[in-house]
Amino acid sequence: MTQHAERVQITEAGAYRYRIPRHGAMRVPGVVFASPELLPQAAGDQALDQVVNVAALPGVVGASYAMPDVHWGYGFPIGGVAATDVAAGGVVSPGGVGFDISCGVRLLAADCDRAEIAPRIGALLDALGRRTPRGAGRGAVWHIGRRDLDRVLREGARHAVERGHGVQRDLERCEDGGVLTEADPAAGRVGDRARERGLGQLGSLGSGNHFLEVQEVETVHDEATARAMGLVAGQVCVMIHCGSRGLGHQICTDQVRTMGRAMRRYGIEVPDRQLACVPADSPEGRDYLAAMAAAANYARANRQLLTESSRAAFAETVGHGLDLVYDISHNLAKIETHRVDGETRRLCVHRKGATRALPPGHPELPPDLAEAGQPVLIPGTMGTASYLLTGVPDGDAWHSTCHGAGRVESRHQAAREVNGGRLRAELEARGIAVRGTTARGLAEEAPGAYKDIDAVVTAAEGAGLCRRVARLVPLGVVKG
Amino acid sequence: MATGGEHPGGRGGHRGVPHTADLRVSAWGPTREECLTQAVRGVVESFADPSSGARAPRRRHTEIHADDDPELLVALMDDVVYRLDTAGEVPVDVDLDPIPGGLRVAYRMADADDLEPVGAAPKAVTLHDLALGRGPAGWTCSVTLDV
Repeated sequence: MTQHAERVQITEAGAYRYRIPRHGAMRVPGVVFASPELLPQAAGDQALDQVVNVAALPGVVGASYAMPDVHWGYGFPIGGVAATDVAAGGVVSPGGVGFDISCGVRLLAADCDRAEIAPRIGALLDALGRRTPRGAGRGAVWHIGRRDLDRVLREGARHAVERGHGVQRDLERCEDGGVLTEADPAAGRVGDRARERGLGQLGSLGSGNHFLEVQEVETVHDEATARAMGLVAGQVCVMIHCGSRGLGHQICTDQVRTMGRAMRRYGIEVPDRQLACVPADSPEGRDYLAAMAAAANYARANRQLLTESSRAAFAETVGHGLDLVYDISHNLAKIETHRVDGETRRLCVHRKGATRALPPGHPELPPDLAEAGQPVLIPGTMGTASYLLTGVPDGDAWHSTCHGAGRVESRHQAAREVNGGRLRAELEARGIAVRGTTARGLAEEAPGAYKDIDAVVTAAEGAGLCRRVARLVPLGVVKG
Repeated sequence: MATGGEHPGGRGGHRGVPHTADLRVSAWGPTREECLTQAVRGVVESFADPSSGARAPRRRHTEIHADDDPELLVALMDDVVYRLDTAGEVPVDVDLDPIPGGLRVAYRMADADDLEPVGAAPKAVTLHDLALGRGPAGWTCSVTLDV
């Protein structure tokens, strides 16, 4: 048994698996999928304490899980997965979803290889940089009014496609068909401030760790599966990582406040205000799930609009098209059906910085992916690599896996240790063009501030959460 | 880990504190209002250089109310984030005056596009280890923002 953070006791429990035994208020154990090197190490990182806190939530079943990329978040750790039994008073917590509701990743495949775009890669990156609104404040591909915003909140990417901002296949290859039909943005669920923030940002990257990358499929680990998903070795791709922008953050802010007041009525106490929660099947719980779904719809429409602008940039510079491979969220709560102790239960599964990974044959997969499994998109650190994974039968943690590299250094620390200008020069010397952001912004996102993405994926695969399909490397980066 | 410090002519200060998730700012001052003013400066300086704005700042006035002091800190930061997202405005300075149940706020706003960006912009205010209170040496506060 080893000590972590001078408090949390963890024991090895198999390949890439550690266990935090039940103690104190924990209702279930903690399970951390990691190698020794990937366990949270940073001084003051409280991720494992947060795994313990989540294990005490009312109605939690199975375990409080942490993915290999786990790191310190608010309330829940980032890289945390927890399910609660809805019929047994299980709670829903906005802290288990995160501020950036339905933050996720979209992968588009071009009908060309690297050599075909090489002569025009600079012009392509310029066009992508120019057409991709990013950074602080307002900026949008699609400037909408309140009526269209309401339709986006209810109908997600489907509304964007119906209005001419995409094609039918974009919906078929988006998780949930691009729309969570349970969304309800009625007054009281999605407030005025959230709407105002959403009006000016539909089709924008934001800032921080969000990015748009032109990538190349460097290695294919499973050719048949990759081909079914729409990828071959050497193919050029675009990966888009962003979420629901200010609208999602405002909904989370408002709902945490509402739940903080309401949970006393349900006799719930939590050790961290960001863990505010109420029974999923309560008026406040249903309101949150309906508002969260509306934000998720906004996020899918947001990535759909950035797809449209990426297609325009490709068309005008290199003359190639882009087909959607898949779009998947890594910040969401879903009502799902699972077997628990031999019984079928309706669970509220929180994935915060964790990705659903459905195995081949799962009934929720679209027909053309039924044999391949769900494409799981894992964005790596700027300048390193990203992965396409898929789910495995009997995948643990309610069919969940990692979501990215996972921070190990604060932004301040990274900015102090890394010279952004030198990093930009190093990336460009390796043939990776960078557009947007400042030297400081670049330094904050330096690869050294994150875990090693290859080690994260090795641990996730070794723990039986997923398997590799392809590895992608960047050719150019547009930073938020 | 100071990113700010003693403000010229002021009696308070602010600094950034490491947090792997995001941006944490601590501030202090002899009065609640000075402490909050420093917190706003600390947050702004984390993502934009307020000295780089060339154009004359615009005045914006509002009132902010809350049930207690920590909530007042959250409400003030929420307002800063909201104005950045919806109007593209950044407070390069702020004057705060106490009123019953809250604050009267006078911002001096610059366009975000006119300021030199120096880091990721805040998008939400968290309740994680939130604090605003009076101690023997004056007022101190801490707030963590999602970026």
